[in-house]
Amino acid sequence: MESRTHPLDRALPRVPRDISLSTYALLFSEVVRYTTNRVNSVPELEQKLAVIGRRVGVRLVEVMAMRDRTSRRRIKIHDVLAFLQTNLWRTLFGKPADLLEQVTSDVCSYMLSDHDMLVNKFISISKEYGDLNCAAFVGGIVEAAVDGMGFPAEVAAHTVEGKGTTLLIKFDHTKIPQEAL
Amino acid sequence: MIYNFYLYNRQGVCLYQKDLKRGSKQQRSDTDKLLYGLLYSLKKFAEKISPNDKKRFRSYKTATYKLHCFETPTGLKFVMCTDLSVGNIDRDLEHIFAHIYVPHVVRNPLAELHVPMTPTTTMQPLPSSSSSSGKEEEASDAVTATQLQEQQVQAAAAASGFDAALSAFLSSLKYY
Amino acid sequence: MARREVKRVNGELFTMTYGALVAQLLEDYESDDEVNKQLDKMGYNIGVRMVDDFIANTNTERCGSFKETCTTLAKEGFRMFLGVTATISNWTADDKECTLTIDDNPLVAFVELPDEHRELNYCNMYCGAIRGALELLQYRTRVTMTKDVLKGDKDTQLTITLLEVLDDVPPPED
Repeated sequence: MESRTHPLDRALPRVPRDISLSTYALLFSEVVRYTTNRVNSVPELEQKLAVIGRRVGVRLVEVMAMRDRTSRRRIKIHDVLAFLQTNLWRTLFGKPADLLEQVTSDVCSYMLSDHDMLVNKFISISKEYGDLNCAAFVGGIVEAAVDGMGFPAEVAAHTVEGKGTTLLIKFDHTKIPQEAL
Repeated sequence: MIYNFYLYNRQGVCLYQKDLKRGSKQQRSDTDKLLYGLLYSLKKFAEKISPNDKKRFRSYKTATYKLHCFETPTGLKFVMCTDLSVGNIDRDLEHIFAHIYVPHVVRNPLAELHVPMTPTTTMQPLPSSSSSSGKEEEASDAVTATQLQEQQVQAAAAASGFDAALSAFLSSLKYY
Repeated sequence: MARREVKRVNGELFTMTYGALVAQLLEDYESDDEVNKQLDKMGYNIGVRMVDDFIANTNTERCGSFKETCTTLAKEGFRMFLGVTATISNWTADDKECTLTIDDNPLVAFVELPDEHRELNYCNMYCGAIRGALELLQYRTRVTMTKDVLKGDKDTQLTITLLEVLDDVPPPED
């Protein structure tokens, strides 16, 4: 065992090749099913999915930052949002998010929409599950990402009839300096 | 003309059935079980008397209808009863498997695989765990009454997606 | 059936989602052994679905023997779902046991096994998935991890043992 190189000394593995959508969908569906069996309510289920998403987000953002040597640290909220809509979405889903807009009444709340959320592609929610949106997992990834950039927020996933999923991102205005807005 | 459609899994559970006969006489309520018994026997018989390696039972014809059966390597049986004018419809049954069953049921995490998809008033029992050593349903632990109910609710939701897609496909066929 | 265009997903997202799941299991269960069992169970659930998906997407007929089935699973199955090929080797004389080797295991990128989880079979989901897939193809098997890159071995290896060939369930007697 002493002959093993320490992981921190090893080069970062090259980007693993793409995986088929079926495989990811099956893995994600097991994550959802496992979590469903351990909770008692839909909000609890979404919360637990978000926790798992956060684990992914924390690591993914570090890897992205390491690979992206050209950009500087983002200190304005608009840059952070642009990062989410283009960089993060492209890394996760191969395309930018469909829509990003500010909630009219609140300068700290934004909506990020995806008309065809990859994780929800094969999931059809029955009435028993009410307004469950499994993209709470993606919400967790986003939460970890913005937190890592110094802009903590709460993210909730909502289903919009006929328009896919919208993530409502509510930044914590007490933690964001005025000049960053 | 299509009369019925049935879908069975390897354990003989009728996962789905659709009656399209439009105004014909009432069928026995256990037709699906009788049909499975017949298919099982026919399959065994066909394997025994086959002169070569190709042993798959495909269809039979009576004076009034023709029954077609497509079986996947995983034991799913897609069965359709039609009138006598219909030829070989293997490709259509394969299509139902690959483009309707797989996307709506296999890929849907909230759909249970071994529970009948058509909501019925009489609760269908799940395959018992002592029936064979090759038990598939290890996935769920001891099934309680509430779990069974929940599975049937989920099955109903999956059924509506599968049902809609299947109805659309069947009505697009030349011999509908 | 024509081979359909398979949509792809970022490999890192896949690897990290699996990692996050294992981390969650480690939090929820007390022992590595329990986590191994859960991973196997979840793998089983995935395997039983994967096999139908595989058959629908390729033009596969029923394989004639256990040997042929394992070889197709390793070569075609792994290629379709994970983009890597696994190889089958070391068949026993009675053709009932073999070794499956995965060279470029996508699950273990970025992963290191901490000392307090030496007994964890991180890739145990493969075992359950293979077991589930083979069972739907009428083979009851036992699949165990025998070599693990996270434990210092060169590559990931599993042993597949055929326990019983299953037959269709006959209809109940009236």
